[in-house]
Amino acid sequence: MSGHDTRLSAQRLILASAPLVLLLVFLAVIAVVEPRVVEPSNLKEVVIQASPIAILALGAMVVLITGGIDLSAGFGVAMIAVAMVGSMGIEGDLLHGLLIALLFGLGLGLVNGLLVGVLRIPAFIATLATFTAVQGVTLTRAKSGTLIVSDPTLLRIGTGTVAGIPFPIVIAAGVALVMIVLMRLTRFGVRTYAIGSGEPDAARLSGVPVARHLVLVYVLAGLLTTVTAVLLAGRSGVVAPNIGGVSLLLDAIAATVIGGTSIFGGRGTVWGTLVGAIIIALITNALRVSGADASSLDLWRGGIIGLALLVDAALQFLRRRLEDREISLGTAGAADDDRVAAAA
Amino acid sequence: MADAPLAPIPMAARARRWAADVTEDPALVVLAVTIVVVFAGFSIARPDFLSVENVRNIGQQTAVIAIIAVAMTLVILGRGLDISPGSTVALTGVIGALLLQDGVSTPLALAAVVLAGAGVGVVNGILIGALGVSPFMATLATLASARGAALLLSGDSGVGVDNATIAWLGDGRIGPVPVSIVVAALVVAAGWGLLNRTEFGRWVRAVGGNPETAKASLIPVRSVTAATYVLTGAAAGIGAVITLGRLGSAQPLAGSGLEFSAITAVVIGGTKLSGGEGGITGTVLGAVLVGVISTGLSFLHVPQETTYFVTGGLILVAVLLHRPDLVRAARGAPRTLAAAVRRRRRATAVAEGAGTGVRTVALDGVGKRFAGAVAVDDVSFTVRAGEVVALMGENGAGKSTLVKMLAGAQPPDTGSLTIDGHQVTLSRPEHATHAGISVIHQHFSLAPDLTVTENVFLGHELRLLGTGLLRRRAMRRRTRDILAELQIDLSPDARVGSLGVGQRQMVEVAKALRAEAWFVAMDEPTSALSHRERESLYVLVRRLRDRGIGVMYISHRMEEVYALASRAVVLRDGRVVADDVTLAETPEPALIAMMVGRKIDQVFPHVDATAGELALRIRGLADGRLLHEADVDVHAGEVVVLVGLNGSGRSEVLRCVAGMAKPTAGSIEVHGRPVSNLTPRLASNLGIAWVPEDRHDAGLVAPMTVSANLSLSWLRGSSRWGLVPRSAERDLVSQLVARLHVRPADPTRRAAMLSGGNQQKVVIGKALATEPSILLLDEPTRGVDVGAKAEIHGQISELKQRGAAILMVSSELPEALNVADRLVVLHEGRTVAVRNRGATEDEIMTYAFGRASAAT
Repeated sequence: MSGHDTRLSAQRLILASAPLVLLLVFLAVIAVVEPRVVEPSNLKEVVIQASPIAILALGAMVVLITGGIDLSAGFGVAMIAVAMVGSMGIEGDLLHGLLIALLFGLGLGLVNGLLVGVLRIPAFIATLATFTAVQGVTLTRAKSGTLIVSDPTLLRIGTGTVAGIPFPIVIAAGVALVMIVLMRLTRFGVRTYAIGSGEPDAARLSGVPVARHLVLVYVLAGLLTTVTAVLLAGRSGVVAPNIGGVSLLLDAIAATVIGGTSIFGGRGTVWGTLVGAIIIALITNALRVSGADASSLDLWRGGIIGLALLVDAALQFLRRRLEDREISLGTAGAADDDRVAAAA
Repeated sequence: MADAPLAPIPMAARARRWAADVTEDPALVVLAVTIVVVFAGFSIARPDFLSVENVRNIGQQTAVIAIIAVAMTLVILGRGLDISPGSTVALTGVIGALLLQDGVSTPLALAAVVLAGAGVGVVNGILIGALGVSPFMATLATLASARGAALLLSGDSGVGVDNATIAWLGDGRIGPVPVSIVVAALVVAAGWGLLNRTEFGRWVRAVGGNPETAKASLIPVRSVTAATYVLTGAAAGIGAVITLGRLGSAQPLAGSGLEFSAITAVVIGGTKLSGGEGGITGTVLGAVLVGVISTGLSFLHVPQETTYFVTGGLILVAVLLHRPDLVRAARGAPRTLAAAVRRRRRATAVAEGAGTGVRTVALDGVGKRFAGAVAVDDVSFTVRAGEVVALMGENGAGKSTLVKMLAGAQPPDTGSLTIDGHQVTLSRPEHATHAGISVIHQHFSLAPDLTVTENVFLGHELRLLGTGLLRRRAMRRRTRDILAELQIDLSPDARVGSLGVGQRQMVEVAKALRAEAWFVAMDEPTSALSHRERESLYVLVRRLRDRGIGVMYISHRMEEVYALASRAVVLRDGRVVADDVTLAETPEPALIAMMVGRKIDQVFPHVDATAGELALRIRGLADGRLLHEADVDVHAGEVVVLVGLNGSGRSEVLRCVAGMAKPTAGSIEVHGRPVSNLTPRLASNLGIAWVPEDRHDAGLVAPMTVSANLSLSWLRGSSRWGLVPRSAERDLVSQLVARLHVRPADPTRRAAMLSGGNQQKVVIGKALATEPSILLLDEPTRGVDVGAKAEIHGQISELKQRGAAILMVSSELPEALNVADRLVVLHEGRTVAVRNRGATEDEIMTYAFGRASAAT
């Protein structure tokens, strides 16, 4: 029995580390094809570029785990960035700006959450509506076109370093840490996985307040969108109404899918999403370095998502096969060292 | 019952029918009126809004959206979604422009554009239809790829188009009407025709309305799904041509957001995202409304952002208005809120009001009706803590209904539930849990991705004081203790998804213990368990009893009832026959007699007919789960009824013969020929028709009309060139409606609106329409009132006389005994007895319980 045990858990381990393996494969291939990309200075740039993608992707991950989708995240970044920088004006009161950013970001999340959780409108339609509305809000705030970021602190957040590590990476790492704690160590995490898990009624029948929880999920996504917006604003120095947008959304979703979050809901890890974000940034960077057309990036993105979908479908199939085998062998249920002495 | 040929239809009636056809839905009239009102509103604000020029303008703006929206309607009707058309417009436009620049002839270039669009659709179709990828994600990938390809091919800038034909298509006019509107009108007409006049259109509705039923009705589900995406791609190609003409160039960013406008139009037009409901007319109206609003807003020089808000709000309003539950809730909101508050207060009172002494759960005069049929009536009995009481009765005697009431999932119509002598109202599952009641259903409430510990504590997690941090170690310890106490051999860290059915059941029991339930109800817990798992469960039940927990145990298995329970409550036809049967003093035959003895107050028709050749021969059939070794023979002109307890494999036999399930062993011979790898299509070709056990699961497409449902399977063999033969269909439908006495006798009614009995008649009618030589009926009169039952049986007799071989499953013994020429008894997936007409209830039930050695 134990032989089967180890083989099955080895298979599980391989499935879980698929994103990491993919990253290493990509690094190897790129190292051969375009060695400039894997130079340390460039790799640092890749990780910096991956940071905003990672943060937005973590928000997308939580929503996807519950079986939903947040279409408004991409343009939400633009709306928040524009609102924030716009309100800061020339004097540049960062605190004021951050408060405005939070207001818009959490507000967006709240609206999404109420539509999906309370009114039970399908997530696609609900976030499609907010996606449209967000575009409108962005326009109202960006009348003058491009806005310039003048606050030095904000610029430092985007471009500075802390103990030699670029700020964006620090922020992304911090967010990731918080998310790990949230998803693994709090009841919010357990319940989120439960809601998206196979049996749709399991959470509800067990007494989880599903509506309230979904609102929190989307508000969290809104919070992460806010952090992404602040980071991007600080990094670019200018904020145009098309910052972020659909491409960023695509990157974020691709990162989560590559990272192992199933589009069918339920699974998804912070680590996987981080690795997925790095893979996306790496590919984009490699394409740019090798001279590929900037406009063709969308084509690559689409191709990557398509590939990620196929891989996801394949992984789903393999996971189910693994599960069937585990069930029939009855191994997973046996408690080995925890074996309780049988009393008649 | 004479079926007279239809009299020629007078002109007025025909006109009325056509009008009804086109409007499809009274809500569309409201939509049309809204358009007029909005238009009028804008005209009042800006008089020059009301001008021919402007109307033409609106039409042109709307044309491309309408073209895409028509195809999108098909996709959404089929329960799908496509967000790539906008990018497809850009890509195909660029391809066309480049081809024209290269000197390719105009007609060839146009064809290439549409074909390229269809090509994108093929990619979507394969991903979604064949590989089962989520429509949103798949079309997101094609959206990005198409956009990227467009940018790449065009070199990031517009590609000029200098072509008279295309300019004419985009900007020209035929008389006063812009060509683009004409093209759009043609696409709309073609789309309407496709959806409402062809077999394909019916298929799309069926696939979206109920994919399982579609599969059973011989529809190629995957191909239909893929086809809807190909059509959308082609429509995008057509839209690209018009856009090329209007802009005079191919812009790689053209069509941005087009798909969302199209989806908005479709949703506003009444097509539900859940599939199966909606139509082209609504979509067109929706597109026009969106066009009028956006044009009007720009006329008023309203800032662009307001247009965004209005569009976004419009989508939401459209979705919400089509949700009757929300509309009702909104109206009754203040009242329901107050009621909910009151209920919550009462529930907590119950939990705290636990008294001393032996705890009891009692039902007192409890009654419940479902759609006119009585489920339980005046049921009273008590269960005490520390005892195991068996609830016994035939299938349909009312046991599951009682369990649902105890679980707080369904309130009784009459009577009351009493806990420790206090009356309680359990209107939500939480109330039952608070009161200390735990129910283990046949469908589990466990999350497969979570561990045993996480599931045991789901909803009631232990937290570090003040924070949301989980006290994982404490929960794990407690789970381990519970598992140990119940001597369940499971690791608290095991993923529930990897556990077998029996093990999951044990987790449910552990969950009950964590909730400190003192009363546990188990609804046929061993029906899906292996022998070993059953033994473990028996041990568990005894432990629960020893802990002082009261257990209500529902089961058919005599040996376990006698082994575990001290008392039995016997239900028959929803009433309590005996509520205090001491099992130690009651021999089995007496118990069985209590369950089945009844007055036969219904006479089922029986017609003698000479049995003909052997039509169906089944030997050793197994399906790897409930079916192990079934043998059944059915001759032409005879009715064979499969009887047995729930879970004995009867339905599975039928599903295997119908091609809906794959047997893992055994043989099936149809009309003397062995068959393997049966599909619904193959089975139908062999003359087999199947009526499923649950009409909602695979029998009916609820949103479709009675007429469409009746003709669904028949259509496959009767359509000419893909078109629906309407007059032949009308004849067929009116004959079936008359034959089966479907009420109301209106074939244009939606199937969802009929009563259960009439719905069942429709499902049977669908099977009869194909004139089968072998008819498989799974519980044909379940949930059907007496009158309808007689009518259905009349039909069955008639078919039998015409020489059909009929294999039926029935849980109602009187019906089975009267209607059958022969009875085949299944027990735990094996044929244990074959009896001719004239057998007694007692005899059959004894075999069904596995209590007699069957010497067939």
